[in-house]
Amino acid sequence: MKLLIEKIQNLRALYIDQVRTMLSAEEQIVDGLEKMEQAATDTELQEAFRLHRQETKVHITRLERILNHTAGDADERKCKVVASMTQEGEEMIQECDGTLRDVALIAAVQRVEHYEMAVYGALRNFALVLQFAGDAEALDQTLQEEGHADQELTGISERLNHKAMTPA
Amino acid sequence: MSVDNIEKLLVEELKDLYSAETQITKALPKLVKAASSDDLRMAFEHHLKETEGHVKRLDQVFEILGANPKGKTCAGMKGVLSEGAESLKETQEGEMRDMAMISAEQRVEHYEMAGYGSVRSYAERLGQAKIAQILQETLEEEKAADRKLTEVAGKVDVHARHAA
Repeated sequence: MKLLIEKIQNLRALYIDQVRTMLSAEEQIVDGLEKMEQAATDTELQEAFRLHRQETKVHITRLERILNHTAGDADERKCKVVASMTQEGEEMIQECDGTLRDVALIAAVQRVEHYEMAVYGALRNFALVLQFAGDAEALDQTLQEEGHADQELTGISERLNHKAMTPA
Repeated sequence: MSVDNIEKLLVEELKDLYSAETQITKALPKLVKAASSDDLRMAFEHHLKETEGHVKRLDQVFEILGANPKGKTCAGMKGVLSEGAESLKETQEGEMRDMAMISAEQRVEHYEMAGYGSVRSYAERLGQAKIAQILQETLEEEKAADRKLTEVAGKVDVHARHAA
């Protein structure tokens, strides 16, 4: 066991560390989205979760590529944040049924999307400063896709919120 | 308790945000202390004051709804903050720690934006215009705080070298 943990002293190390954490986050999200898809009752929402799950797999490939050329391996570092968010989403599945469950699932997934947007925004900026132009481009593409997924969920939620207002 | 209507869902999610904001008011003073750049310290101090205001706004909302804000722990925020605390410990004091704290705090902001965006929409749907307006004010402040941090991050000298 190392007694003295070496501190992160430069941006490259910080960048690699955060990419590793994001890889773990995305992998947990793939599993989480599968559960969400099964728990959703609205077919458009199921489809949105399914498509975003496929997109997430592409995000994983992008992160692995970045790690392979900057760090020489694609090891991940456990992201505890997404673990706790996914847990919160699962609690909502227990607590609500039907359209209301759909609305709650959307709110839970949008928290995850926003979390990812914050991380990808920071990572893209780090990559730009480090002059990793290819990385910055790939990270930006993912950032756009996360933003788009969030907007799409807002659209579905507007329709479902209305339905949730109508007493069963 | 089972959530079977959107009003209950609104209350549940508001309780979650209440717990999140309370956790943030406890975490921000640590970030203020750990920040090296004056700009960043001031940004954190300013946002701490704003966050105390957000808690008050939520109190107001709960009063309108006649509900109790307490009784829920936001596990999501707990996770976001514990990861932030970890990255604070792992980075060298100075520019790198500042960068790590900015990115941690931006995760907090984004998490809140998602939360406030949802509750504001629910309040609108329920015809609770006053509540929707109160929540919208906080949402705007969270967005502004996020933009401010991006600006401060742009000024950090990330190529600074320090003797180990």
